[in-house]
Amino acid sequence: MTTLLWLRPWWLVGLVLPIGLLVLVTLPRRPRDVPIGSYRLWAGLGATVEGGRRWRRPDPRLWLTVLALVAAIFALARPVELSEPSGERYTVLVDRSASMGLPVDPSAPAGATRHAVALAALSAWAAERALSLDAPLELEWSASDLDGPLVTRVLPGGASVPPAALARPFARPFATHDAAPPYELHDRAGVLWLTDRGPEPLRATAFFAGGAACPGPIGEDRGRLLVWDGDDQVVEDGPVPSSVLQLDGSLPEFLVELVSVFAAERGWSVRRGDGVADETRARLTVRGPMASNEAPSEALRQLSREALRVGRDGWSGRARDAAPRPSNTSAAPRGGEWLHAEDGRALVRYHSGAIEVDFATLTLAPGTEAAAVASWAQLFDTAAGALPDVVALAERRAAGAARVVGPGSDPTATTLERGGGVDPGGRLHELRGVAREFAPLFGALAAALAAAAIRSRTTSTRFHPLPGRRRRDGPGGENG
Amino acid sequence: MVELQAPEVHFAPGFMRRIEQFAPRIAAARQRREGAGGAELHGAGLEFEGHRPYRAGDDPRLVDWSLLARDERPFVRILRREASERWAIVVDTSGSMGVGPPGKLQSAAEVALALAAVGVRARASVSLHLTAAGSPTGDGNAGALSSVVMRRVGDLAQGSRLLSSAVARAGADGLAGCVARGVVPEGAGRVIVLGDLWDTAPEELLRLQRRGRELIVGRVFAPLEFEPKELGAGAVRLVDPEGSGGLEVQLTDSSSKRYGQLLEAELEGCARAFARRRVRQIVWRSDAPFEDPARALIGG
Repeated sequence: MTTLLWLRPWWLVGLVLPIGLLVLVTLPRRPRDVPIGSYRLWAGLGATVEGGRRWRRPDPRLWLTVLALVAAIFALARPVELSEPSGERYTVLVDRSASMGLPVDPSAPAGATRHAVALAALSAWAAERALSLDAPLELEWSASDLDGPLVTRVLPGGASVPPAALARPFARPFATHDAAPPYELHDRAGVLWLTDRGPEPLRATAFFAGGAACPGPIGEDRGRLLVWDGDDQVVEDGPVPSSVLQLDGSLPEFLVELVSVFAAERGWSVRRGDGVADETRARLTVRGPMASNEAPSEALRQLSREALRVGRDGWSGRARDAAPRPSNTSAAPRGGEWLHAEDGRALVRYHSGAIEVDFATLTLAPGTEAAAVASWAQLFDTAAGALPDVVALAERRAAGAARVVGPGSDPTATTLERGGGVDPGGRLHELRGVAREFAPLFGALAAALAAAAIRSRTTSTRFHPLPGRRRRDGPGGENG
Repeated sequence: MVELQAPEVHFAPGFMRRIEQFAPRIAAARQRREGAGGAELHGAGLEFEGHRPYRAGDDPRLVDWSLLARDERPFVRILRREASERWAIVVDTSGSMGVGPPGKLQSAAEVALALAAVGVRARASVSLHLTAAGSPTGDGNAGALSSVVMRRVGDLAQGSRLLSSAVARAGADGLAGCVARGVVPEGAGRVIVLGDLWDTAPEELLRLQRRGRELIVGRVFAPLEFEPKELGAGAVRLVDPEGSGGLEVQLTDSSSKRYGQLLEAELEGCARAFARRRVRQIVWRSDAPFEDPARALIGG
C-alpha cells in the first residue's frame, strides 16, 4: 500500500490558478461587442445565427496550459510516495532504568532528566536527518515497559521534532528493577541507544545523556533507609512504611517457607490473600496457579507422570501439561519471564509487585540450597522493587558527559537499516529531483502556451499595417 | 455609445514619401492613357495636341472630319487636359468607417491623399471633402474643417491635416447626407467617393452622376466584414457602428457561409447598379496597401 505525501502542501493552493483559468475560459459570458459595418447583413440572417450563451469549448492549448500548470504545482508541492515500511527506519533502544529518571544536575532536582537529555539529542539528530530525506524517518521504540510495537514517524523536509513528542510514549515512571536493555543483543546497524551510560557500541549509535552523581536513598534494611551521600553509605532511620508480602493460590511448601524467611529478613509481614480483597496494598504478591477458584488438591491430581520437569539454580519442580494460567495474569502488566517450560510456556513470571508461579512441586538438590535461596530472593527483590526515590547506588553514580557515540557518530554512515519500501537515495530521489528541476520548465511551458493562446486570439483580428504589402483577397477590383 | 476600434486617422512616418513615389508615376501613366483618348471630362478647356488614327470606341465627336474628308481615313484629335480640370474626393466619416482594424477610415484617407497627389500633379484642382467635419486640426485653425482645395503639390499638407482630423462617429453625416447637401462642386469633372456604402444606396450616389463627369466609387471593407472567421469562434455580439442596435450571434460555418452569400449578392447588386450608369466601383480591404486601390481607382 502506498500513500502520497506532500512535502510542501501549501503549493497545492496554487491549483486554484489552473482550475480558475479553466472555469473562466469555459464559463458562458456575455459575448464581446464587435462593431461591424455589415451589421445590416448579419441582422438579415436573423434566426439562423442568433443563439443563446453556451459553455465554450476550451482551446486545446488551454488544456495544455492547465496541465502544465498542474504539473508545475505538483512538482513544487514535492510529492513523495510512501510505502510500508518507509525509507529509513531505526530501532531506538530505551534504557528505562531508574537512573534515567535522575536529574542531570543534582543541584536542580526539577531540571532535565537524563532521559530528557538523551531524547533531546535524538530529536536534534532526527530533525537534521529528516532534512535530507524524501520519506519519513521512522523510529521504532524498544523498551522493557512497552506493551507493544510503537513507531514515531518524523516527516521529511525539516519539520521540527519536539522532544516532548518523542517522549510521549514514556510518560510512565522509570522502572526500579533492572530495566537496562541488553545492549550486547542490540549492537547492530540501525539501532540507536538512548541511555545515560553503557558499553561503547560497535555498530549501534548511542546517545549518552551522561549526568553527575546524584546522592540519595539507595536501599532499605529492616525499616531503615540507606542513603548515599556521594562518598559513603549512611544508614538513616525511617520513616520507612511497613511492607506486606501476600501469598495467593497454591504454592509449593518450600516456596512458601522461602517467602516467609525472606519477609522476616526484610522486616515485612506475610499474609494469605486467597480470594480476599486487600485491605492494604501488598508490596509483593506471590501467586500460585489456583489463585482464584481451583482447589489445590484438584491441581495436584492433575499432575501426571509425564508432567514437565523444570528447574534452575539448584532446584527443580513439576509443571502440568498445558496448565491453565492464573486467571488474573492476562491483564497483568508486561514484565519479565524468569522460567520457561520447554514448550515456551512461562512458568515463573514477574512484574512490578507480583510473581506468578505456574508449577506445583519444588525439590531442592542436595547441596544447592544456598543457590536456590539466593536465586529466589533475587527474584523477590526484583519484583518487589524499591521504595519511591530509592535508586540503586550503581545508578546514582556519575555517568560522565553527554555524547553521541557510534560509527563516525553518524548513525546513517553504516547503520542504515532500510525497509523494503522507498530507497531515499534511489529512484524516487532521482524522480523528485527531476520533478523539482522541471517545475520551472512546466511553469515556462504554461506561460508560453498561454502567450500562444493569447497571441492566437489577437492574430485573429490583427492585420498587416499599411506600410507592409499584402495582396488583396476576397471581393475586390473594379465593380466587385 | 458604440466603441469603435479604429475611428481616427494617423499617417505613419514615411507615408508622404510613399505618396511622392506613387503619385508621379500614376500621373504620368494617366496622362499617357487619357492623352491618347478616352477622357471626356468637364473642365474649363482642352488643349489640342495632335492626331491619331481612329479606334473603335473613340468618341465620334473627337473625329477630325476635315482630315477624314481630305485623307479619307478617320483621325481623332488628341486633346490635353488643361490645368483647370477639377476633381472632387469625398471621404465618408460615418460610424461604420471606424470599424477595423485596420480602420476603414484610415485606409480611405490614405487612398484619398494619394489620389489628391495624383490630381495636383496632373494640374487639376482637387477638392477634398469629409462627410462630417473632423476634430480641430490644432495648427492654429480653431474651427473644424470639412473640406480643402488643393491646386499644387504644396497644398497636399492641407489635405493631410484635414484627413488627420477626420474622426469616424456614430450618427455623423454619411455619404447620402453629403450628396443631399450638395457638397460636391457642380463643376467637378471627376468625383471620387470613398466609403463603405453600408448606409448608402447606390441610387443615392448616382445622383452625383452628370454628363461629362466621371464618378468613381471606392468601397473599403474591414477584414472582418469580408471574412466572418476573423471574428473568431463562438458567440459574439455584433454591434451596429451607427448605434442602432446589437445582435448576439453564434458564429458557425453555416452562418459564415450564409453571410458570405449575402455579401456577394450585395456587392453584385451594387456593381450592376453602378455599371448601368458607367460608374466604376472599386472594392478593397482596409489592410491592403493604399497603392493598390488608388491605382485601381484612378486607372493608372
